[in-house]
Amino acid sequence: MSARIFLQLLRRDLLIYKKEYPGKLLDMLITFIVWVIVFGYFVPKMGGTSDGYGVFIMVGAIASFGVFDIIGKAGILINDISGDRTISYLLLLPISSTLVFCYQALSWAFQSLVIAIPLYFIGKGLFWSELNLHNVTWYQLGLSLITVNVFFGFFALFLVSVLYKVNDLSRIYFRFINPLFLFGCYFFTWKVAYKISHWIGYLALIDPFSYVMEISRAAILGTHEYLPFWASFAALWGFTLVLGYIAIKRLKTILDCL
Amino acid sequence: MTSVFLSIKHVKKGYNKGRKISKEALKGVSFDIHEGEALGLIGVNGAGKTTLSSIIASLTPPTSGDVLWKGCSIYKNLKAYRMIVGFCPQKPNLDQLLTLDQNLLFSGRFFGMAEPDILKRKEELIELLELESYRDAVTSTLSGGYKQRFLIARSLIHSPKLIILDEPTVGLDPHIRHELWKIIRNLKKEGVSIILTTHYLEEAEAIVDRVCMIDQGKIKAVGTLSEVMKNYDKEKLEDVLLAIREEKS
Repeated sequence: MSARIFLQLLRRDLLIYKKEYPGKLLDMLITFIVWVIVFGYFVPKMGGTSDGYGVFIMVGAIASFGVFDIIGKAGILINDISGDRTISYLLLLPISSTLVFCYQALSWAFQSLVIAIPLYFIGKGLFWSELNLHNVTWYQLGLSLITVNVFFGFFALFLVSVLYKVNDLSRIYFRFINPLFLFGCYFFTWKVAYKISHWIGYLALIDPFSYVMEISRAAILGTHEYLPFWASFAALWGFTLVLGYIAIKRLKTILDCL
Repeated sequence: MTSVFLSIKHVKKGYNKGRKISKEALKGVSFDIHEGEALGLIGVNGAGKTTLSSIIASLTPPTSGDVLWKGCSIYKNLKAYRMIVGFCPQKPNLDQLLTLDQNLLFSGRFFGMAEPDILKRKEELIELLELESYRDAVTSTLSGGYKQRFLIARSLIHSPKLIILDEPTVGLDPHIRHELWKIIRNLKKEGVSIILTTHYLEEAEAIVDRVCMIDQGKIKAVGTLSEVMKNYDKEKLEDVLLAIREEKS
């Protein structure tokens, strides 16, 4: 019964998301193409970057774009909790509240996943010869997409559980999320950070976004320059479980539900 | 007297500020709800009515005490209990992006109903609550009265045995309120037990079989309208409520 309700909740969200999807995809496409043109073609002309830097940035951009969409959705839930609390309807269904919160995170994860997939095809079109499909480990790509987006889903749920007002979201973004991204191996590999200073390398290991970048690049560009795929995989699931546990516990307290 | 459907036993609810309980909204509330009756939870704003109805709906846990259904704690088999309860909240918690029709369809699915049963029940409710012209409207576009009708329809989709209506007519025009009263009376005729939370006394007088007067988290009186008025030696429910308020001061 619980599984059936869980699937129906996801089905309802899909119906809603179907209407939003073309617009969302267009938003992401515009940002993605501009981003890739600037970092893939303009920045290398200034020198100082290695060959294949454009593809390197492209993979990181695809891996990370989902989180921006999800943070917007987290804002809607924060607003809801401090306002009409439409979520209370879901908390009265014959299903545990833990499953309701998990459904919410997984629904966001799915929405971010379906944005990421077409971007890979666009990316291949932009970097036709530079993106060598022989380097792609396809099952690892599949696993990395799922792992990264599930992590984003629970990360957003964690944000909802620690923020009381939607206005706090922009503060959190500038103070924490953006620095985590920039230090999280967005423009460089973990090995480069480690070479600069071992301490910077170790610090990057406590930043979950480092694993988001490294796992995606290891699956698409080959593992030799990046952290081992399975190490990033295990670390991301670890972060997902910890953040998910804290988020669900806090949300149960905030919403005072069973 | 019909048999007891639900027993509220010594229910307390405190709201915490840090580790300390900063406000005790319910201070040991006990009463019974009988099968097929309409019980009015009456009290002024802040009396604890919404907290109590949220606990009975199983949205909020009590700090202590229990709610018994068929003699067993509802918390032992919460999912089974939720299958027989419908809750119509004070604030419209609608899925704003779906149409009324889609909302009802998914509500039925959430309660594990078979598709043909949902479709049949949906049509019955749309007719009962006169929602036909709005079935394809996105719920965010509905007026207050129609939102309230829709909320009642949604809470009835799985044919619950108990429906909790938390201030269902607040802010509605008088003629819409009277129409909703008619709907609630029809539900009673169908054998649905009803808990109606209200601070409109004429609403209670028009609909309920018994009243439960609540003030500052305590039950002050439970009984039929005539019993409660007789006990307080008053002729109107409004005077009983005033007497209860005066007891406090």
